[in-house]
Amino acid sequence: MNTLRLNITVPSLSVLDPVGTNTYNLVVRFYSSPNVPLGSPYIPDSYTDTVTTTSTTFPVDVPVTDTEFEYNDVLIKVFANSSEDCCFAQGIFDVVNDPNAPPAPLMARSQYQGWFEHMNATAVQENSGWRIIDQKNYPLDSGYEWSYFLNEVWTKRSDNLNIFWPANTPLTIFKVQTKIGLDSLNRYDPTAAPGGYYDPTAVKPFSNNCTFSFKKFVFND
Amino acid sequence: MANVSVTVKSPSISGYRPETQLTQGMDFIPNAPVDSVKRIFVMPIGRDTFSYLKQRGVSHFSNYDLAQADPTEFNQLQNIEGRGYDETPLTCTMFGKPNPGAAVWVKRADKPDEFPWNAYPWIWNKLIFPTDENAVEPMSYADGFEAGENYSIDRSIIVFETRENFNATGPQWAFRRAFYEALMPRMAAYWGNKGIQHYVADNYYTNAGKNLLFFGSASVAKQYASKPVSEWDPHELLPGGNLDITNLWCFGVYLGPLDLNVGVALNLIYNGFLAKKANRFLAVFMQGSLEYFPNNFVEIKHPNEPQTGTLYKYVKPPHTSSQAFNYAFISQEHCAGFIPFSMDSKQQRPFTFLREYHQEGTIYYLADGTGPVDNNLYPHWLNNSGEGPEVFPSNGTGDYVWFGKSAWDQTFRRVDGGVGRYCRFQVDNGAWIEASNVDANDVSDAAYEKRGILWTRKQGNLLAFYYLNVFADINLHTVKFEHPDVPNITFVFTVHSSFIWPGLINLSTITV
Repeated sequence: MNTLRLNITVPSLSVLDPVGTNTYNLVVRFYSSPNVPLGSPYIPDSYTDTVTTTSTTFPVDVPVTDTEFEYNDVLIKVFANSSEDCCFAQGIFDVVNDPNAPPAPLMARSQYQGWFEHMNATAVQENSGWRIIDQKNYPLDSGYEWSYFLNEVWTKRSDNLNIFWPANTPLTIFKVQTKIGLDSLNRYDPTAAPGGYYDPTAVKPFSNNCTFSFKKFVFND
Repeated sequence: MANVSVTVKSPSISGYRPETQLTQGMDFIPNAPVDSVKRIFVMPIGRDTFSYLKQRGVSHFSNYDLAQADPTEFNQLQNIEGRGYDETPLTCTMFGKPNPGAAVWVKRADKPDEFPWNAYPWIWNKLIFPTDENAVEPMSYADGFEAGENYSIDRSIIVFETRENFNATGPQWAFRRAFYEALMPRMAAYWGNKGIQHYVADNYYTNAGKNLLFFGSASVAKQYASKPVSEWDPHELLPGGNLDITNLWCFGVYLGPLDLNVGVALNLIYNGFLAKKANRFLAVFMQGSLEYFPNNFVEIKHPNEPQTGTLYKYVKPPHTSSQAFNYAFISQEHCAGFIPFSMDSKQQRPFTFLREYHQEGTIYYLADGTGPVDNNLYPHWLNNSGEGPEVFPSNGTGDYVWFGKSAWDQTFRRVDGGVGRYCRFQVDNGAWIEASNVDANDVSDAAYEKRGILWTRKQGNLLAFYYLNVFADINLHTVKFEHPDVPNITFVFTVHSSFIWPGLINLSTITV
């Protein structure tokens, strides 16, 4: 279990619901927009706590099952008690993840990717880098080869991508089926007449009228 | 003799969680210095606040974003701090005309059928410029001047959109110059009195420089950059041109096939040199995706909604993370700044799309992997814009713009105003590559020799440096470069791929 630490500031301690000396009840609720509860499986919609404070700024630790980044921008409302009309603070609060949580492991993260039926690029840790393999066996047309762009590097091959990426540098892969020996994608124009500089068959699109498949990897902790 | 290992800023950022498909780069960088308004760095507001993005280094905000500010903040940002950016108003707006949304093209009455007078730039849209049948120009000089007297100077940056579709209006007409003869002195007086730089561009992709990659050889590229500006190829934005009183050029980075975009980073550095030599500002004008074959699927997931499946929707290709990073960095070091359009901003799921534009061709799988199934089952279609805004997943471009800009803030901004030099270097203990510091020679040689560059800037005891090789292979390499002034001091570090690898050295800690 992780916690999200909310640093709450109230205009005055008198807005709180007292239950003892310097001790108050409050209810924290999470919303995706002003009147819509967040509905997240990882954070409770509603969390009740008792805080002891003499300062108008104090932390509230909300238990959550995941501290994924996106909780930074949920709308948080803090109520004096369970009544809906006792809201005294709302907004996007300063959220601090649990300082005692174990460090995140180094991982390959998929940032942006195409359909797995066209390319299924995987990254597995190998030594101090990553083995990148395209697991999708898409049929290659006669007279064509695979062009894989690895950031700015254009590589051509008749088999699937299988490379060692030796560092945690972000990697953008494009995959496209090109005529064997094509010198520039600039030649591809599906509306061009055959025989000129522009070639309607320079690229063989994937199914579903799809030109490229791609995947952006991020490797970090 | 000293050979010193130095650290470089990695583009791999700890804690960054791109798999959320939400823009977050601004949350994973340190605050920028308070003088960040010295360079242009526009970014969209999204769900952030103006004060937060200012802390993170945004210099100017689009007028569309500023419209969300409360009156006090709006006044502070636009009028007092001069942070307004007038985002691509059309020709019709420029000349105080209603937007016709269509064109009826007319020719000069005196030369209706004679080339080149019968085609752009000599024809005009009668729905914007309602001329009579004897007209030989769309608008008179006096009316153009009056429009320039009436146009708002409330934003310190204006980038017009004058060259496309029904707004296409030639830059050579007298009334087009008259507009700026009225506008530019007003901008200069109003913003000059506040000590704030003003910028005006006639068109968002018009640059009076040259394509470094089209010269055919390094020597021709070098000769061009070394010639006096008066001997450059004529252009309406160069001295003597019809619109030479505007002061901002825009270098569009959004077009082109993947392989031809490899050299664009070097082309930007070259054009940054040309613009400075012509005493003009150059902005990197970047779209959030590549304007090229838009029919590619992207996977869209909602991990916070276990009941929602996976959608594959057509998109334009993303920029590589390396290009986004490099363009933002170069925009600050070698140009006057960075202005995006259709760039990712901080959003919140769910990802919502207008059915009429985006449903056709999309593929949908249920949460348990069943599919493809009827794409109507995707729960976040909007039937009309009244149901709410569309929210698109980030393709990562915006994040790497933030990371590239911040990498510059953390290195070269610390020595802004210092002496810039290309330095000699070697890769993997190979032969030394000699660097030229004459005009744009080194970047021209690098483009045609397909090699890296090692650029430094030194101020006091601080030396900022970067290595960039857009032609790099996928292996790790060791770069060693020589101190710009002291030949027996070398610095060594590891690089990978085509990212800029920048660093900052405190020379007072180096002993020979």
